[in-house]
Amino acid sequence: MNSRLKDLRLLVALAFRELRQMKFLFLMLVVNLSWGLAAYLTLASLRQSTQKVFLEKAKHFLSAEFSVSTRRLFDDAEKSRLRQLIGRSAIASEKIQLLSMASGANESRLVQLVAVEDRFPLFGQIKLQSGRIVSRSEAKEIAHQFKAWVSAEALQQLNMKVGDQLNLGGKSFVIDDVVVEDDTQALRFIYLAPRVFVGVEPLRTTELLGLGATVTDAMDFAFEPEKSVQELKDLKKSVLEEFSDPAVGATTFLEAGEDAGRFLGYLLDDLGLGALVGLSLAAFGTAALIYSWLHQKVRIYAIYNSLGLTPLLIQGIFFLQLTGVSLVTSLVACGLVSAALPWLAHFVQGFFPTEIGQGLTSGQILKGFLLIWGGSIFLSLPFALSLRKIPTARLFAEMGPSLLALKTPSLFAWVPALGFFWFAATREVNSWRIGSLFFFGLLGFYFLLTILGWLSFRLCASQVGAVGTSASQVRAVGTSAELRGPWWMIQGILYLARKPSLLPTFVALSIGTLVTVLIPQLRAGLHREMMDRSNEPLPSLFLIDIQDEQIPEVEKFFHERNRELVHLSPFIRARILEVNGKSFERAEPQTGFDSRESEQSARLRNRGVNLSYRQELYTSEKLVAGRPFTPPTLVPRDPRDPQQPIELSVENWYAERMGLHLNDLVLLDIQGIELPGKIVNLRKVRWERFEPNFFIIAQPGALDGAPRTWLANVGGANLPALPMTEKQQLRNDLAHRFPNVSSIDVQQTLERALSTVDQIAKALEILSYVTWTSGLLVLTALLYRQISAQEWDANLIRLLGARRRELFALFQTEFSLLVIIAITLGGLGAIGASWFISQEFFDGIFWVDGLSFLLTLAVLWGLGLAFVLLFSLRLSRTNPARILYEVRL
Amino acid sequence: MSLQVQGLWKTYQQAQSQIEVLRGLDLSVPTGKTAAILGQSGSGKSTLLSLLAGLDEGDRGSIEINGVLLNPLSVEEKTRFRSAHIGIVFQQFHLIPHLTALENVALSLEIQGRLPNREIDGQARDYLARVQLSGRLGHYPSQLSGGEAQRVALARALIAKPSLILADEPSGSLDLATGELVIDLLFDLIRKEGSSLVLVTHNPDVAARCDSRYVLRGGKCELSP
Ligand SMILES: Nc1ncnc2c1ncn2[C@@H]1O[C@H](COP(=O)(O)OP(=O)(O)OP(=O)(O)O)[C@@H](O)[C@H]1O
Ligand SMILES: [Mg+2]
Repeated sequence: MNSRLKDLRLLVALAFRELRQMKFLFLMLVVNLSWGLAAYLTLASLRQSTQKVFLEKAKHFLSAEFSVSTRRLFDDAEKSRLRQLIGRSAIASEKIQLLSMASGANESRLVQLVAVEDRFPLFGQIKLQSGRIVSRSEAKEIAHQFKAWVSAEALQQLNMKVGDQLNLGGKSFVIDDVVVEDDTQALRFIYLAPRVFVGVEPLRTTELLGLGATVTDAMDFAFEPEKSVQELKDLKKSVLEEFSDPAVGATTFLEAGEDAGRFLGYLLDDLGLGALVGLSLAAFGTAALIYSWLHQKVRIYAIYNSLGLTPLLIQGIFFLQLTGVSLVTSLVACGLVSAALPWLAHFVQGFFPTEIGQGLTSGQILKGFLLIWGGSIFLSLPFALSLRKIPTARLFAEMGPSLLALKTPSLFAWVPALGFFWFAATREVNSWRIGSLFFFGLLGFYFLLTILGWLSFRLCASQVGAVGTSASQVRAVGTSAELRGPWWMIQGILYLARKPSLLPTFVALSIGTLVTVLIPQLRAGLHREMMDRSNEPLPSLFLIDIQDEQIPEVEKFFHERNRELVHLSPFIRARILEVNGKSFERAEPQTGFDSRESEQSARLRNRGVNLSYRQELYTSEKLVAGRPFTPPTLVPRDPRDPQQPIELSVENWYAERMGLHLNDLVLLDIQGIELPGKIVNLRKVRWERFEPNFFIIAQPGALDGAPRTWLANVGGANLPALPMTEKQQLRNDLAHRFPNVSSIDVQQTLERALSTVDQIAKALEILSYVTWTSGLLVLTALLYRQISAQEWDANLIRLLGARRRELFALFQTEFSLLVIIAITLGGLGAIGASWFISQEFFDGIFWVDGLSFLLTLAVLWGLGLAFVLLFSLRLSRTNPARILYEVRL
Repeated sequence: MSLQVQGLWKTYQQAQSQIEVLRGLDLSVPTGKTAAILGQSGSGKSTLLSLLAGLDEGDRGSIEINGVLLNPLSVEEKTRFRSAHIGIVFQQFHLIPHLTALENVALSLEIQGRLPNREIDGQARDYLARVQLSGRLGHYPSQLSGGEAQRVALARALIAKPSLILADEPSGSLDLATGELVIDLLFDLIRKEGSSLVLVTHNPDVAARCDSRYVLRGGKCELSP
């Protein structure tokens, strides 16, 4: 027979026989890894189906194959230029969208107006309450008549029914039908206002499309036959060349799908970070388990070797076993995920498109298996390499298992495992920055904890008088009778101080604690932040689209009702042309984006920027670099004088993403007029305060003449929030007086945002339970392994005449100290980590939920000590006679 | 000549000091003959055996077994050579705890990989019968007495028909009577198989049964009468 085949058969037999003998360890490995893998697979499944759904439905979301839009209205000349460019054969349909107040007999509400033509929607469909299904082919009466289709939510808010009259911008529309299902809306949970469909033609007769109104005018196109992706890209390019106005943009359906999917993608990336925490805990546990596994097996491998099994084949046994573990793990994880997905799908309903959560593909399962397999092989590589030098000769001298030890793997042997993990981390959260931060943070913690553990063990040793940790030092001190305390205590502490193999367990315990404490802490922090903000008085209303000439009247309107108009801010559209003399626009990458950071900055660059001007900072802002604007000069200045650029203040996040720095010279284009500016400060903005704010704010003066509309708050921070009914009355009155001015109910919007956050928090919470459970399992297993590794010594000590009670006390001393120090350090580490995370991600709002922190620690202490008690009780009961004739493991 | 050792040196490097355990040791054991190694504790007997088994490397000198020089072989090659030509018996038995007596014995042949599985099983039973353990086939090491365990170890060392047996105090952990039984069986088996034996022992009676006796002293083997 072929000798290789024979070797393989032998290996399989040996590997299997051995696995039979280590059921507990096998079980621990599988449990440990399958939790991590299950979390990973669930996310992978969600992610993939999200992408699939969004790409499939991309044309529906855009309701077009290709769309050209502008943040004003197209004029007729532009429209015909566009038709010329696109080709007469394309099917076209215009769509105007804007936020507006809609009023019934008693109520007024903010709605998202979607004005359409006959062909709408070019793709997708809309289901109406009457049973009608609206699609491209049929003509629509709303396109030409004063009729409206109102979403169910708007109907309910307005307290109206089909047939009632709806006032939009001074014109009356009959509610013709109710929208039940709307294919053309990508994300059901992110919107400011419910939708109302009307016709473009009737809309033009209202007062809503006045100068400066915040509208989006889109020309939607469908082609027959459909155009290829490349053709669409080319078309987009030529459209952008033809229309130099920065307000004009073009979107292919693919981009629309990606845009919609991206938001969910980010959300899933963040959940990915959670999965990563679980996965890394699993990795730690796995490494420690594998280490203790091999440690246990050295003697057997040495015997194999003495019988003539080559080191290479012994490594083969080990890899076969890892493969077995990975296979079983993958099966278990797939089972878990298959059970969890339908339930998850239910959970995310109304939050994700319903098609999500369909199940695992075979590709995902294979990938999961490879991840676990590759991961565990990389993880065990250092140990496996040290199998090259099995200390077989020691079999001639061996007295106890502790004498047969593998060589400590060199630090370099860890490089592949670390590299693999780093790579997996960045892939999992789809961000080099966050992934690396996470990875190096964890690595740093590992080293820090190893050092701290070593130091604290030494400290314990010095407390009982055993100052040094080297054998000769301790012996010297010991004989001089300076050791303090009973012998079992000293021996227990010496174990702690002298056994380097305890350190990985110590660190794993610590990091397990850290993760376990950190996740609830973060959640508490997140909630605290939200609560904190909603406790401060918020402005009651946010007004948009106030025209220049309306300002005195609007002010008077509120004054008469004892309310103030505050934070009145001009709103000006602009575009950045150059930064420090270098062109800065529409940078379109040739290949895909490699991370979400580069993706975000490219998208932001492509857009124009809205800006405003004022002299002073709001209370919701903080200067983080530079100086305030210089006071307005009395001497009128020429804004176009490059020697005297206008002073600019830039929001710091935006500056970071755009690569803008303090003192940069920025050339702005404000609706055709070029204006040089200089960044004199960076500021931090608390956007959730709902005060009108902008990425870029200019010094007052130079922009006074620019075309603009106004934003404002009603109420303001120093006024009590309006009661609900009064607020509604105010909005109704406002809508009647100024049909073009829209008001947003800040409270309501915030609540809706909070409920979304709550759902995310819930998902995180579930994840944290998963980590908790797997963490506890790993820790228990490690502790058990570590304690039972000392069985030989226990027997020996008993043989030397120690009483059971003393032996028990020895183990108690050793492992209670280990557990308590590890958990305490882990808990403190968690506080440090959450402080760091709060600085990085949450605007530096740091908050420790003391009660839950102490409670979690107490539970961990309790559990750890209980296990120590249990295990050391078991160990102190071992039969010392066993030592007499056979070394057993 | 089954075993031929010439000018073997072995030093252990400690932190500060060097321990010269073997200093130019010569030894030869003809095919089918037995040699006893005596010597004080720490004189280097086990060290010598581990070098003969190819488990460790000497600093100088040569070891030749069945006409094959061990020195130039790689670790893998030495291991294969051990599987084919050398059987080892330890003082501590070193059975595999998760294998039964039968499986422990069969393992040698499985690793050698010359015979089909069915024959391996038959031979293992046969060898366990020769060491009078037919009634203990399914016992795990933890269920065996010390003497029984050592007899299983004997069967395991001999079943692969090695030409050289290395035994390090095989009766050292056993009581007198049991030890004698084990030694009887060892000599019995060796005679039947025609293997050579290098036996480390502290017991002069056991040593007396060997064809030649050496005392390891000052890192060299001295022939003793
Ligand atoms: N791995 C090692 N590293 C350092 N020194 C060693 C090592 N192995 C053995 N020694 C030393 O080499 C010397 C010989 O050891 P060896 O085990 O060969 O003695 P021995 O003759 O078998 O003794 P015993 O009869 O007690 O078994 C001893 O002094 C021992 O301390
Ligand atoms: Mg010895």
